[in-house]
Formats: sequence, C-alpha cells, structure tokens
Amino acid sequence: MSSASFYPPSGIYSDGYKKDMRILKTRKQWILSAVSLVFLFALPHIPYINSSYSLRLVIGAGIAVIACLGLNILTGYCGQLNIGQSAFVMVGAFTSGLLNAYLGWPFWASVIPAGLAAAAVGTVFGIPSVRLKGLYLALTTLGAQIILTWIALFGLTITAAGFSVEPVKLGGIVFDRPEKFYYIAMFFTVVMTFFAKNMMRSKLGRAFIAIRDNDKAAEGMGIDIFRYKLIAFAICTFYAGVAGSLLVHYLMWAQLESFTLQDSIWYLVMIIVGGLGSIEGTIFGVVIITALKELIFVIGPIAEETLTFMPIGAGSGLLLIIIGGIAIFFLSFEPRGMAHRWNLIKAYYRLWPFGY
Amino acid sequence: MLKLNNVEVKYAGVILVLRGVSLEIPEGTIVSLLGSNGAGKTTTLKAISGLLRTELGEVTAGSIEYEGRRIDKLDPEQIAKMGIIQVMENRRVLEHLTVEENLRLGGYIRKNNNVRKDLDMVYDYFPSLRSLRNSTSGYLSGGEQQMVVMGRAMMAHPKILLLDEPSMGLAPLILDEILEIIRRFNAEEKSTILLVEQNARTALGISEFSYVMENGRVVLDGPSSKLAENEDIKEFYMGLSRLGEKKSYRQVKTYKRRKRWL
Amino acid sequence: MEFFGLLVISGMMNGAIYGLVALGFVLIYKSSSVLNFSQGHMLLLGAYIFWFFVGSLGLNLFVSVLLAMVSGFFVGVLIERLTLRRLIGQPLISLITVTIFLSLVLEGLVSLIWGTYPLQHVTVFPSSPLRIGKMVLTTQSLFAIGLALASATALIIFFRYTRIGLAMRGVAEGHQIMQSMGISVKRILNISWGIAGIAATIGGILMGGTLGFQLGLSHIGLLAIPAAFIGGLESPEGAILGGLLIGLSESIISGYMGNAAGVPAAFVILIAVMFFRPYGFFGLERIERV
Repeated sequence: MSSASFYPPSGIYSDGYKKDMRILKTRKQWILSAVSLVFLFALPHIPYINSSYSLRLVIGAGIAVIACLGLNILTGYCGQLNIGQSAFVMVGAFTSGLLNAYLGWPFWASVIPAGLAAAAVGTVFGIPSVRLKGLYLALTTLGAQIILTWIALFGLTITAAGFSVEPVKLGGIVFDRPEKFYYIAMFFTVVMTFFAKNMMRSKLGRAFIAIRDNDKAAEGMGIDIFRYKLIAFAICTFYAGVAGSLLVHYLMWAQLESFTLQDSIWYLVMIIVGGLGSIEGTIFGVVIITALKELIFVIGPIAEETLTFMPIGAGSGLLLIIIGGIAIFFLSFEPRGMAHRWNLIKAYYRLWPFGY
Repeated sequence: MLKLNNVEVKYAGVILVLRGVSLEIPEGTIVSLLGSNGAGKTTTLKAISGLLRTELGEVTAGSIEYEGRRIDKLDPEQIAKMGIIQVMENRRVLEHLTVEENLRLGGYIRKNNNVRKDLDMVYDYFPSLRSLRNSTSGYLSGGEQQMVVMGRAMMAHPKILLLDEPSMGLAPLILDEILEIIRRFNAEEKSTILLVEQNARTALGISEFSYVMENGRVVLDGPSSKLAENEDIKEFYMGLSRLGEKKSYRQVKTYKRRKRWL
Repeated sequence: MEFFGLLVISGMMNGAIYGLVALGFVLIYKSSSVLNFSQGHMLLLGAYIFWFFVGSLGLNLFVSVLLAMVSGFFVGVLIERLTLRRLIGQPLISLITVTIFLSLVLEGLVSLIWGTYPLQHVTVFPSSPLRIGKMVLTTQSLFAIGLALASATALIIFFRYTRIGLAMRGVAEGHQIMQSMGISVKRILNISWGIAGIAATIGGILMGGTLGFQLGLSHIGLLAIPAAFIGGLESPEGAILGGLLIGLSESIISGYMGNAAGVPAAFVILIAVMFFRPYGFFGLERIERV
C-alpha cells in the first residue's frame, strides 16, 4: 500500500525515478513535515498539553509505534501474521535490562544488542515459514509468545521477579523522568519510522509485497521467498527488541507483566485499524487505539461508580467491548484501515468537485 | 421467456460494465453470447443468476425478467431455485470433495427425492465420470473438471442453463464431447441454454440464435447460421480473410478495418 | 506408577475437553474457513450462562444444562450474524483478526455482566468417585471423556453422511460456488456456528464444574488450538485425537517437570508436528495448481 497519495496536485510531476520515489514531493509537504517535527519535539514546552500525564501517553505511544512498525513490516507488507510480537519486545527488553543490571552496560550500548537478540530469536521462529503458510505460521508465532514467556518465567529467577534498570544517560543528563525521556523516545520513534519508510520503498519492500500478494508467483519471478521471509521476521523482531529496550530504560524496571498475549493482540489491533502495509497507518493506529484506551480507563471507573448496579470490573469490560467492537467495525467497513480512509479523504479534497 | 431489458451493471458503483444490454432467450433454444475479452459476457450471466452481488456488482438500470417475474433484485439462491443455474467459468469444482459429492451438492435444492436417479442421469451423459466418482475433484484434469461442473448443474434439472466459456482450456476432442452433451441435454431435458463463448466457431455451430457483445453492448444479433456468414464476424472473430481463407500474417494491414456495425 | 496413572487420567480428561473445544474449531473452520480464536471465550460465556441458570436462577441442573446449550446455539448464531456476515469474501487475515477481537469483546461482555471476580461455586458433578485399583476416577473425568467421544462421533457421522454436513463441507470450499448452486450459505454458516456454540458451552459447563466459574476459563481455548491443528483442522476425529494428545502430554510433562511446563511443551510439539505434517495428521492438503 503506497503511502503517496493517489493524486499529487497538478503541476507536480517527476522527471526521473528518483523524483518519483521521493517521500515529500511538494514544498508544502516539506514545510508541513518540518513543522510537525518541530512541534513534536517542542511538546514538553507547550503549556496545557505538557503535563506529565500526557507526555507519558505520548512516550507509550512512541514505543508502541516502534513495535508496531516492525509488526506492520512483517504482517502488513510481507503478509505473515504474527501474534507474538510482545514476546519479542520482551526478549529485547530483558536483553537490554540484563546487560545493564549484570554488566553495567548503558542504554546506548545495549539497545542494538537488544534488537539483535530479539532479531535472532525472531529469525528462529521464522524458520517454520519455509513449510507453513498463513494461519499455520501464525500459530508458531503464538507458540513463540507462550514458549518465550514460559522461559522468562521459569528459566531465570531474576526475570520472573522483575528487576530494576538504570535510566538512560547522555552527557551529564539523566533521563529519568517523562519530561526528559520524551526526547529520547521521540528521537527513536522518528528515526525508526524513517528507516521503516525507506526500507519499504526499496527493493526489499517490493519483495515483501510480492510475497504477500502471491508467494508462488514471487518465487517464479526469482525472489528467494524463504530468505526474504526470514529477513522480514528479523526486521520485525529487531524493531520489537529496540522497543523493548526503550521500554525498560523508561520504566527503569523490567518485569514479565509488561509483555502479555493481550499486548500482542493490541499491537495487531493498532496496525489493522491504522492500515496494514502502511507506515502512516501504523502511526494512525497507535494514536487511535491509545486514545481510546485512555478514554475508557478514565471513564471506566467513573461509570462504575455512577452505575452502581454493575459488578466490579465492569469498567474494564466496557473497555474491551468498545475497542473490540470498534476494531471489528473497522474491519467490516474499512478493512484497509485508517490510512486508506485518509488517502481517500485527501484524494477527495484534491479532486473536488470531480468524484473519482 | 428470459428477457433482459436495457440492463446496466456497475461494479463497486463506479465501473460500468454493461451499458444497456437487451436479450431475449426463448424457451428450449440454445442461444450463444459471443464477444472477446472484457465485453461483458460473464457479467451478463452473473446479472441473470444473481451472483453479481457477491462481487460488489449490481444492476443499476433496466430489468431482467423470467416468465414475467423480475429477478434482478433477488438473491442467487432464490434465482437458482427458480431453475436458472449458472456454470461459472474456470471449472470451479469443490476441490476437496469427491466427484459424487460435488454432484450431490448440485442436486441439493431438489430436496433429495431422487438423488440416485439424478446421479445416474449425469453419469449417463458423462460416462467417464462414473469411474471417477470417488476421486478428489481438485486433482482431476481440466476436461474432467468441466464435466463435473456441468454435471453438477444438470443435477438441479435447470430450466435455463447458463454456461460460461465451457471450452476454455479444453482439448478439441473433449470439447466436441461436451458440445454433443450440451445438444443432447437441450433436446432431451428441454433445457434452455445460454452459452457464453469466445470461440465463435463452436458457439455459432451449436446455437440457434446468437448475440455479439462488445464493450458492454450488444452489437449484432441474429440466427447463428446467418451470423456465421457475416463478413465482419468472419474477419474479426474467426480469423478468416475476405476470401474465406485463413489470414497470412504477410497480408495483415497495419490498420484495422472498421466494423460495419459501429 | 500411581502418580503416572493419575497424570494419565487427568490428562485424558483435560484432553477430552480440549478435543471438544477443538471440535468447535473444526466445525467453524470447515464451514467458514476461519479459525475462531474466540472459541475459548465462547466457552467462557457458555459456562457463565449455565451458572446464571443454575446459580442465579437456581434452576434444576439438568434443565440448566439444556437451557445453556440452547443459549450457546444462539450465541454462536448471533456472533456469526453480527460479525462474520459482513466479512464474507475478505482476506483470511481480516477474518482471523476479527475473531481475535471478538475474544476481547466477549471477555468484556462477561466482565460487564458478571464482573471480574470468580463466581460462587456450583457443584455440577456428584462427588462419589470410582475406584480402579489404587486410582481414583472422578465422575467428571468420565463425563468429560464420554461426552467428548460422543460428540466427536456424532460430528463425524454428521459430516460424512448427512446432507447438511456435506453442504457445510461445500461451503468451506467456496461460498460463491455454493451460492451458484442455490444453497443458502447464510443458513449453513448459522448452523455451524450454532453447533460450535453448543460444543463450547458443553466444554464450559464441564470446566466450570472443575475449575470454577472464573475468567481464566477462556485459556482453555488457547491450548485447544494446538490440539485442533495437530489433528488437522478439517477433521473431527483429528480434533479429538489431537486434544487427547495435547492433554496427555501436557499433563505428563507438567507432572514430571513441574511449573506447568506442559503448556509451552504443547506448542513445541505443535511446531514439531507441523514441520512434518503441515496440515496436521488428518488434515486436507491444500490443492494448489499454479
């Protein structure tokens, strides 16, 4: 699913492949992007919205974006359903955490190894893709979730109990509060998004899409599908690892409960609502679902208190119903996610008053 | 008996495929619908049998009438129960089921009274299927699969049988067999047959009346014997040059002669 | 030796229930070509509905079971109508993820109505156990195993020898093809989901009686997934056998290794089996002609 709008405004044309492949084609787009980036990084300084609470939300979203980018690359672009993403996040998290707790490695030294460790594990779980397709492959990722969680629970006592992790340090600054960590998180989110976008614009991305659409035909065209599927798994889980590393250094605590099957499912919800196979879609999806979750976390307890005839836990029940319902609704009416809807809106705006 | 009046069909509300098609299929005849790729023939059949809706298509103007009743807004199941059965293109058998199971499902709507008799009828028309009755349909050859899908349709004792490109991908000998069976079925069961084909010679040979479609419109119609003599048909659909001989590539001109019916 | 015997018995009982849930998977897969990830939650809902009749309304046990089964049927039908109906023809990934989200919704629904705390215990089975040698068999084990086998047999006969069973298998092959033959795909889907609902409810009643009526019941669905896959998604026999296999291995491995090692082990076994038999032991191979 290409990110470029279907119809660039008139007057914009490309006279060569390079120009055609540019992400930002018009002056307006450049300006908008620059402004958004500035806004993003200046957020902590803007009154009214720079509370600790909202910054924490955005950080959480940023980390989720990284995990979901990886997932979208594997599931959205390459078509291999992955129901175990949070387990790979966990691998990265514990790798980074243990390197820090036992060997004293700082975040900057352990983030890449965390990603690589997760990628290694992810590649191992990608091996079944040589024989299995679709639903059956998704099963092995479910297996990954369960097996990895079990290992963390019963393999090492320290991972089962949870342990503390040092915050990120750079120069003389210690990023131990949301207001400070925000910049780290946003930096990584932006960089990882940029990389993801570029990877998917390249030959790699095209190979992934070919495999997703018809892997036998792709093989017939000379694409080594097994190798590319493994690469997709590796990239997806590398992203997961990085997200995990960020998470533990942010929370300054590494524990199992952060990485459940439910989380894997949330990641999936995010990319589906946002749009499979679309980088912007990932961001849309994370933002929408995070907002919804927060909304209901806030409203839930209030509803429980006012509607006292409801049993305990009804609030969280409502949360699940509404989000699940919305996700299903999305899938029924806009299966290509918010990103597609957004593209349609942009196209409509550009082409008005013509219909199509 | 079956009438299409100025039928217009759109897919996804946007793609206009049929632009005012009018057909009349008298009872008991074999009628053929000719045209090259993309003319709208399959869409016409699907409009009649109601299968358009499963593909985001709908009849947006005009009407389809069967024995006086309008059928263009009905569900495919209801239309099938009225006796209009379509054999879709591409030989879509129910792959993991055996031949006999496929046939049984074909007769499902007849409420099972005489399944054995119906099966025997089909095996009578297609003797080679009898020996294949317990084979998995997905593994059969193209010709055998075509027999299965046609037999499946016959199990329902259709009043109108819509055949979509039965000749596609079939060896000429098998094709002859199948054409013979179509003729027999029409004669013995008194079933009306609407045959969609790209292979003009086959279609004109077997049908009594023909329609030619292009770009979503009917451009020519008439008794098949007359159409076979039509110069334009000969040149554009049967590859014969003006003198009735096969065209040699040496003689192909770089421009295309305009068809007389445009 | 005794210990082993105990493990085997409890393994078979669990296995029988996994098999029952796996049957539900098979049913839905055979007709809708979808793996219903929410089967475990349908079990949860079925169990809670049963509790409602027996615990809340205080009705007779037998009556409650019947009512619960009927409700289970309607839950299945309702789910199919509200969600899957709109998604006919969508790619597989959409269908599967809808069932995943459905599990969220169902869990939410149960929490909404009955709260998140475990419900008051209800005795489902008479507590007089049977003794064989030195081993003790609880009635619920017998019930579970017997019921699972009976249901499996019924389903096998149903699929192979009845008209509707055949129609369900046909619907699994292609909705459009079936429609062209005049068969109401909607009705068939309704029926198969309804029966799956009943199977889930029965499993829920059995497990609720054993483990108690709490939210954790839905996790059974998780383990039934490898059971269904090992057996082959198109095969009711495979579902039961797969269930027993998983139940036994889980019980034995957990028993000797401790730490509920049986759960990940089940998935390891699954992956191993799928390497050699991608479609499960009794599954149907994909027929692909490129």
